[in-house]
Amino acid sequence: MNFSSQYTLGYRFFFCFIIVIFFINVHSEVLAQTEITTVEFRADPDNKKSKYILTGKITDKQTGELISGVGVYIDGLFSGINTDKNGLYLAHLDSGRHRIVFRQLGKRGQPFIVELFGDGVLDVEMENLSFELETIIVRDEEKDRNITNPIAGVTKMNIEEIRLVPVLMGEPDVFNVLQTTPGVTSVGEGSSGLNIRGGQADQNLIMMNEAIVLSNSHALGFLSSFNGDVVRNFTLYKGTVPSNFGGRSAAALNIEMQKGDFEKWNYSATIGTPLTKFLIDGPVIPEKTSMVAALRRSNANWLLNIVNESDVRNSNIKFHDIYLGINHMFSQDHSIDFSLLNTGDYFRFSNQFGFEWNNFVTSLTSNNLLTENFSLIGMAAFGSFNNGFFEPEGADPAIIRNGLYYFQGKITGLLTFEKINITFGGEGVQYQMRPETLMPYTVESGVIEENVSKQKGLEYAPFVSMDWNPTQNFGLSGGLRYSQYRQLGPDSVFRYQEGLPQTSLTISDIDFFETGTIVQYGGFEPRASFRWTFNKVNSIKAGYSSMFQYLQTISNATGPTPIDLWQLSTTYIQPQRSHNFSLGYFRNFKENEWSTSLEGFYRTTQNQLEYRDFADLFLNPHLETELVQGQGLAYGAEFLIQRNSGGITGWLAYTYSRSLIRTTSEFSEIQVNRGNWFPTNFDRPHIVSLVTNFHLGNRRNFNLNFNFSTGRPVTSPTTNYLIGGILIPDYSDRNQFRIPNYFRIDLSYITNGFVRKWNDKINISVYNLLARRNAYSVFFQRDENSSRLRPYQVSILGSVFPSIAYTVSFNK
Amino acid sequence: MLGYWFLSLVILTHTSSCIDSLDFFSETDEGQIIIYGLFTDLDEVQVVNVSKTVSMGLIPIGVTNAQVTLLTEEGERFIYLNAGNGNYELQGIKGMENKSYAIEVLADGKVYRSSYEKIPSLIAEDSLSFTFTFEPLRNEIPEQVFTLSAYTEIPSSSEPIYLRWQTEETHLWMRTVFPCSGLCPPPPPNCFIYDFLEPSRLNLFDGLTSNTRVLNQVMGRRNVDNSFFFPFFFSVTQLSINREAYEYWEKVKIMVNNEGSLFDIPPAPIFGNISNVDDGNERVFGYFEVGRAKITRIYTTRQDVPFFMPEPCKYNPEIPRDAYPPACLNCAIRAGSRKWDEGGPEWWVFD
Repeated sequence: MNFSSQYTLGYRFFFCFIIVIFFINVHSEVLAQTEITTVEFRADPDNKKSKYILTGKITDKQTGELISGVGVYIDGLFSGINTDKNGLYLAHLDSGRHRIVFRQLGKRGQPFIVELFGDGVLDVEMENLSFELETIIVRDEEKDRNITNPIAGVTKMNIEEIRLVPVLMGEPDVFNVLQTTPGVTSVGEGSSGLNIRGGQADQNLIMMNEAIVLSNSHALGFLSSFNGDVVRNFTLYKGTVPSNFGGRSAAALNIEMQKGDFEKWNYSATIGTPLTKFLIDGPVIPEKTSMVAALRRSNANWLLNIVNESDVRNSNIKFHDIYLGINHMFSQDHSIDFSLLNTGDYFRFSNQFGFEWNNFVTSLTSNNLLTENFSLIGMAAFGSFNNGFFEPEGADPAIIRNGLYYFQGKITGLLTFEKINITFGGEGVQYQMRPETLMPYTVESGVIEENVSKQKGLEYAPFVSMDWNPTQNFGLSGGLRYSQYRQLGPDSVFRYQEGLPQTSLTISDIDFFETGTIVQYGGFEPRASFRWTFNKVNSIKAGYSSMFQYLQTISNATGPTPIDLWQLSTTYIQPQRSHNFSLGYFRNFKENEWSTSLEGFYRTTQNQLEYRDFADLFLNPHLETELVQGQGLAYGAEFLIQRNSGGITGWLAYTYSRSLIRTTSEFSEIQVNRGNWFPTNFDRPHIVSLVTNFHLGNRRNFNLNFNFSTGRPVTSPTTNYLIGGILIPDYSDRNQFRIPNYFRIDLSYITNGFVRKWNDKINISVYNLLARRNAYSVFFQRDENSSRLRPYQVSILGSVFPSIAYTVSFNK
Repeated sequence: MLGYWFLSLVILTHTSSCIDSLDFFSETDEGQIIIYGLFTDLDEVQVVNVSKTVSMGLIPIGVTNAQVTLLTEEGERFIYLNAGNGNYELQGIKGMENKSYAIEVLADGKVYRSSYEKIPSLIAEDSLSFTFTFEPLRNEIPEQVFTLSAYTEIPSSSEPIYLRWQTEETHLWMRTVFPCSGLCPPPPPNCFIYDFLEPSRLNLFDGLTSNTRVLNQVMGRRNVDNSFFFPFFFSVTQLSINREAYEYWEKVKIMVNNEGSLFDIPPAPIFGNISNVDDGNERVFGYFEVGRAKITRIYTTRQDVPFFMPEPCKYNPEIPRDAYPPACLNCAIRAGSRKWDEGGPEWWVFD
C-alpha cells in the first residue's frame, strides 16, 4: 500500500468515526420494564412438606406452540433447568417465597413471585420481543447465556440479532452474520460455505428444522439460501456436537424456521435495490393450523449493467427462494409441522461460462407428548439438489449436469426427569447421486453426449445421550452414536495394479455390482461435555466429540462453489473421521452487562481429501485417480468480549486458527508437497471482527462492522520459462504464500419508513465502506513492458456496495 | 429519500476495476534448464531451444554450449547445429508419420533425454480470413482491432485427432530513405520483423470428445498500428499432435489463462516429457513435441486497412535527420525484443 492510499483510508476511517461519535452523543436509551405477577400455591394443611414441586408448560403466546430451552431462573440464579422439547419444566423447591423468571432469547422474560406452600402448576405464555422497540432487551434477557449454556462451542442467535449486523445487500443472513462470530470464516467473498474452526465447508452439517440442506447459498455464495424473514433462530455447534446430529466431521448448524401466526394474518413486502421479498403468515384454521409463505427474488442485474466492463455488463445473475411452512396442532400435546424450501440460481458470465443450481428440501415433523415426561418426535424429509455448468459459446457449447437426491428419516425420544434428560433415537439417510451428464448446449453443438453413473449409499445411526445436572453448578452430557454406511449397487469398482498409484493408466480390471452392499464403513462416535459454573459469572466447559463423514464435496476450484459435486464414500474414497476437543472459560462482568469467553479447540481428521495436480473431476468414472487422502489438523483459540445491554451493544471477537493438511499416500508421485504439512486454502491464522449496534431509540439502529483476517494461502510461481512465445509460470509447493490481509468496514442504518401509521422501515446498508480491494486470489501474467511475470490480485468485491430496502408490514 | 439515492450514486462512482498489480512475493529461482523442441514432417529447419531460467522472473537466457541429438526408434542419431542464442537447428531431416522420435541434450555435463513421441497421421485443413474492427481490446476503450480467424475442416476418422495451432506474424518495415546527391550509399534494405500473434491464446482441439468436424476459431487479435502500413503476413501452423502433447498444452493453457477467479483450477507444476537421465528428481521444463504440420498464410496490405494511417518514416525535407524516430533509422530498435532480419523469409511472396 502506498502513502496516498494509506492517507485515504485514514481519512475515511476518521470520517466514519465522527459519524459514530455523533450518533453516540445525540441519543440516550431507556430500558423497558416488565411487570411481576404473584402466584400462590398452597397444600392441604394436613400435608405440609419442606419441598414442593413446581411444574408447568411454556408456550408461545403468538403461535401457541410449546417452547423448548426456556431457562428457569430461581431467586436470581439460573437453576440449570431448561424446558424440554415439549416445553415442560419441573423444579423441586423449598417451601417459601421465590422469585422465578422464565427466559429465552428473543422472548420477553416472564418474572413471577411464587408463594410455594404446595405443589403447583405454573403454565406460562411467552411473547416475542418486538425487534424495532426492544432490541436491547433481547440481550438483557439472555446476557448470561454464555455461562449457563450446557456445552462449549455453541453459538445461538435469533433473527432479531441477525438483523442488527450490517451485511451485503442489507439482507439479514445467517451465514454472513456467523462470519462475524469467533471461529467462523470463509475462503473469501463469493465462495459458498463456511469454514468453522478450521474445517472445510463440507464438514459442516447444515440443517433446516433438522432436515439436511446440501446446497445452501445464493449468488455464488454471497447470501445463504435461508430467507432472513422466515428464520427464527439458529444454533451452531462448533465444539461438541450432540449425538443426535452426525454425518459431518466438524460442526452442525441447525436453522429453525418461523411458524405462522395462529391468531392473525400478517403481510410484509420488501422492495430493495438487490432483492424483492414477500411474506405472508397467519391462521388457516384459527388456533389449529397456521401457515407461513415467503418469496425472495433477486434484482441484481441492474447492478451489473452499470459496471464499466463489457463482460460484466453482458453477464446475468438471478436467484429466488420460496419457503412454505404449515403447522397443525391436533391438541396441546400433538402437532405436525410441514416445511418446504425451494431455491434456484442462475449465473452466466458474459458468453464464456455459466452455472445453474437448484435445491428442494421438504420435511414433515410430528411432535408428540406421550406422557408428562416422555415425548417422541418423528421427522421425514426429502431433498434434491441439481447443478449445471455450461459454456454457451465456442466450438462446442455444452452443459455438464450433476445432482443427487436423498430421503431422511429421524425419530427422537426424550425422557425428562428432575435432573436428567435422556435423548435417544435413530436416523437414516439414503443418498442417490444422479448420473453426471454432458450434453450439447445448443443444437449446433457437436459435443458427444456422455453419461457417467454415480453411487448410491445408505447411512444410518442409532444415538443416545444423557444430560445430567446434579447441581446448579455442574452439568455433564454424554452421548454415543453408532453410524453405519453402506455403498449400494449398482456401481463399477475399478481394480488397480498392485504396487502402483491409482491412475487411469494402472486400471487392471473392473468389477460390476448390480445390487447389494459394495463396501461398508462404520463405528462408534462418542460425545461428551461438562460444565462447571463455580459462581453465577464464571464457568468452565470442556467437550469431546468423534464424528464420521460419509458424504463430501469434490471440487478442484480454489474455494467451495455452489456447484461442487457431492460424493459418497466408495471402496477407495474412505470416510473422514474426526476427533474434536474443546475447552472454554466464560466470565461475565457488571451483572452480565459484559460477557467474555476464551475457548480453545483441537481437531484431527483422517481421510481428508486433497486433489492431485490438474485433477480432472468432470465425467470421470474413477475419481479416486484424481484424489489423494490425507490427515487434517485444526487448532486454535477464540476470544470474545460482548456487551449485552446499554445504548451500544455488540462484540469483539478474535480467533487464532490454523488449518493444516498432509497427504498420506504410500506413493511419493501423488503426494502433495512431498507429504509435508501445508496450510489449507482457508487457513487464516488471525481473524478479528467488531460488531457494534447503536440503539438510537424510536426504532432506529445504527450498526457498524469491522472485519480483519490474515490473507489466505495461495500457490505462487517460483520461476517462469518461455515456449513458443508463451511465458509459462512454474509453481512449486502448494499454498506456500499468502494473499494480502483482508480488512472491511460495513455499516447499516435501520429507521422508520415514510408513513407514521404504517409498520414500515427502511434499511440502508453500505458493505465495504472503504471500497477496499480485498484480494480474493492472485494470478500471474506476462508484463507487456518488461517481459516478466507479474502478480495481480483479484478482488471479488473491489468497491463499496450500498443498498437500500423498504419494508412494509401489516396485519389484520 | 433523494438524499439516500444521491449518496448511493456518489459512492457507486467510486467503483473501479477489481484487478490490481502486486509486488512479487519473492525472488524467483534461476539456473533451471528449459528444453523445447518441435519436430514435424515439414521440409523445414527443425529447431530445439535450450535455455535456463533467470532471477526476477525475467525471460530465460539461451544455453549456447549444449549438444542436441535427434534419436529415431531405429537407433539413428542426427546432430543439431548450434545456431546461437540457445537455438539448435537440424536441416534435411523431417518426420515421418507413425514414426517415433526423441531428443537427447548434453548440457553442463548432464544428459537430458525425452521420451519417444510418435507422429500422428491425420491432419486438418485450414483456411484463413481477417477483419478490421473498432472495438474494445486491451481495455474498455474502443480501438482499431485486427482479428485473424481460421475455418478448419477436420477429417472424419475413427482415429483420434488432437490439434494445436500457433500463429506467427511477420511484417515488413521500411526505414526512412534520405535523398542524397553524388555517390550515395544504397538505400537501407527492408526489415522483416517476426513475432507470435497473441501467444497466450492457445487453440486446441480434442477430436475424441467432439463430433464437430468444422471449426471456426479466432486465431489471434491485436491492435492496428503502423506495422499494417506495409505488407503484413500471418502464418498459422496447425500441428497434429499426440495425446500426451495435447494434455501438456492443455495444462499450459490452464496456467496461462488462470485469472484468479473463483473457479480457477489451482496452479501446479507442469511436467514435460524430458528428464535428466542420471537424476530423475531434477525438474526439466519444456517438451519435445512431434507432429504433422501444415502452414497456412494470409497477408494484409495498406488497402485492406479501413482506418486512416499516415505513412511512417516518410522523408520530410523540413525535418532534420536526428529528429526522426529511432525506429525509422534502425531495425533493431523497431524490433525491440522481437526477432528480425533484412533478408526476409523465402515464402515472402504477395500479389
